[in-house]
Amino acid sequence: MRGSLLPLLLALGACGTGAAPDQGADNPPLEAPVIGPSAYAVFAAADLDRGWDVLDAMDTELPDAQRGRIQARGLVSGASGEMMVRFSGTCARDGGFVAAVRAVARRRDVSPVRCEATLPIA
Amino acid sequence: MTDRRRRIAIDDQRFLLVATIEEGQNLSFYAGQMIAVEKMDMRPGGTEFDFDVHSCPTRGGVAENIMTNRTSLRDELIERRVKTNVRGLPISPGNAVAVLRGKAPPELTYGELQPQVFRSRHRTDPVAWTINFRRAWYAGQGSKTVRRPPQAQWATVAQKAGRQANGSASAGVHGNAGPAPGQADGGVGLPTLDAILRLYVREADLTRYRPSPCPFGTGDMIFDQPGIFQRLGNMFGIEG
Repeated sequence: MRGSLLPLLLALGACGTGAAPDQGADNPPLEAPVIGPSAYAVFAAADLDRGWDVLDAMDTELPDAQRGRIQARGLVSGASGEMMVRFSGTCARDGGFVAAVRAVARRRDVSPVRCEATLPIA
Repeated sequence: MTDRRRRIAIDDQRFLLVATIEEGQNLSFYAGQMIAVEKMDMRPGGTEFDFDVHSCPTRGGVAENIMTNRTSLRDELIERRVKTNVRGLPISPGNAVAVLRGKAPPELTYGELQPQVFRSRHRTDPVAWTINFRRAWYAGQGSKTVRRPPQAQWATVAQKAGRQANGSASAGVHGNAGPAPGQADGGVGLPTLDAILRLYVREADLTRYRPSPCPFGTGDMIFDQPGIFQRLGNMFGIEG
């Protein structure tokens, strides 16, 4: 009896893809996509609102090509009050991104804007 | 006050905006036990957001390493997976009733979205978090009766971009059309109408907040997918 079932079980087993049931087109792996290197444009603003003014202004004042490189924006840390924008690229090859951010910040009397390869680990 | 809220209150807790995340990106950070995530899309119509929020305990101020398989990791870390329409409906129930009665056109209101609060089960101080904003699906409604943010704000934007048209500050921003692709100014002038996530932390936790350059939960995984022979072996109770 068990011998007669074995080929059937083998055939059924071979139908499996080996992928876990929680994977698939509707449920991609947990990792977020990592698209190339990223770096940070960092600046110090007088206060949180002033910093967000600069970060929000990037939506309206950066050219589309630069705007599309923004990955995340916000505080560097709640303690320091510095603000950052993470972008696709590196400090050495930023494609003019930091300069564009610098221009946006300067229009709001915020300077300087520096580029960091990574955020400080406190 | 701007049209983009930076301070909100949820259940008597005051939250501050600390970060925004673009579609397809992630953000790892340290914060307190409670955060709030707001889905924002300034385009009319509905948008589905697909993002994960993970938390993990810290030791010595940094996230603990995870040695586990994918399933355990999911069970351990994901607080909640969100995949929902903005407010669930293309128009509010009240407007739907009004439309059915022929009293008013459907109306969408900007700024109705409520942030969602996430509480970590971990009791460490701080708690490590990762938000993966996988993607968003936009389903435009094309309604012409979208209520825009306060005109003064938009007028300011229009003036700065030199878009003031016909002496009316709002004329350049009142219509449906944004800058067309390939326009001479490269699309500068109007807010980018993209889906973003906005991250808030409690005001009391502000000093705990800092982004982490190393996302946890990705490099720490150990994948243990059983192969076909292992599955067959399990089926017949064969060890090894």
